[in-house]
Amino acid sequence: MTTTTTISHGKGGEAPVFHVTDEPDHDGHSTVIGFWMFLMSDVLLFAGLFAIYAWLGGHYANGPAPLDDGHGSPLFHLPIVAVNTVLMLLSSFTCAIGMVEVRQRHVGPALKWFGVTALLGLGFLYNQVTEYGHLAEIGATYQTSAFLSCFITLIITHSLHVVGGVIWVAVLAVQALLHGFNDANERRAVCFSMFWNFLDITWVCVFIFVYLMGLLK
Amino acid sequence: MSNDSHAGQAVAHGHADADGLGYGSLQSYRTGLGLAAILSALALGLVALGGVGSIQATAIVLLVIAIARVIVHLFYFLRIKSSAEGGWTIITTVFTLMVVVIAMFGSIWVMLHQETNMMPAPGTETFRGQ
Repeated sequence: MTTTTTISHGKGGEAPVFHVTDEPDHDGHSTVIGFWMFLMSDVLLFAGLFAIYAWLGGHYANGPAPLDDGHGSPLFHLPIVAVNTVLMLLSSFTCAIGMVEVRQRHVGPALKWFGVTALLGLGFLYNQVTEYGHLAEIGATYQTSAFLSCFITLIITHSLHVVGGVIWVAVLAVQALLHGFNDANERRAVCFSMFWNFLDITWVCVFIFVYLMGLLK
Repeated sequence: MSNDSHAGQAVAHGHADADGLGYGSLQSYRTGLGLAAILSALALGLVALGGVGSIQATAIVLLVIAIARVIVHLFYFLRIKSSAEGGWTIITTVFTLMVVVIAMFGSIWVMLHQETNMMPAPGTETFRGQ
């Protein structure tokens, strides 16, 4: 609710009179633009991490490298990365279908598709956590080399965004079950779908610039 | 599962921000999914099969695929267009991309030349970077 104050000046030196007018809520435009600007600032965060990786990604300090983890196998496993790429892309699609249902105000079908989205996200996170475990197992930790420092920072930042997205969709589901997809919940769903699509775009950049380019011989 | 007539109704549903972000049709999402899957498979196959000759050439092809993939996502999933939100989303996006390009290329350019014109380390005979 926006509050506007107007002033009528009294005649002949009388005290001014203040009128307070309530304006109706705006229809959510500012929320979507504002959320888009947040996403753009997040793009800048990731651009910084990618720029650091572009420079330090080759500084292995005789430690594990993308093509050789020091134990005779590559550090980057293409099959797992490919599965993660498929999971992220499919989750973007199911999230988009969920939005089609949200616009129809169909709570059940929308939550079904958002549920699938969250499950795909959890599958992605499972693979990522497994990879972090594997890195720790072979001694490829944050302190090992500049390459691992910026690599782990980059993928953990992305994973934390996915965790945030899963928590968000869970909260959104509770809101939708309580109140249905009213204007406010629809607006939240729009912001969620923008956020989730952004996660996929970021992952594509990680997939191509970090994993695929790292595996070039 | 919805179908295309649902998507048509959604447009007729008449929300004030129906042309805004996050509002696409099922058809556009399907096209986006198909194009994105093809581009990702292309990138993956390229690396799995050993690239297109030199590392530099393969890296450039991968860069082009990545840019195409991001554009596909922006247009078919996020439905970004110049008219949405009075042009503000496209302005902020272009501005962000400009900052990203300056930050990425600027950082890499500076870092690759950081040792140019430095004094040679003891025992070396020539200046590096010359």
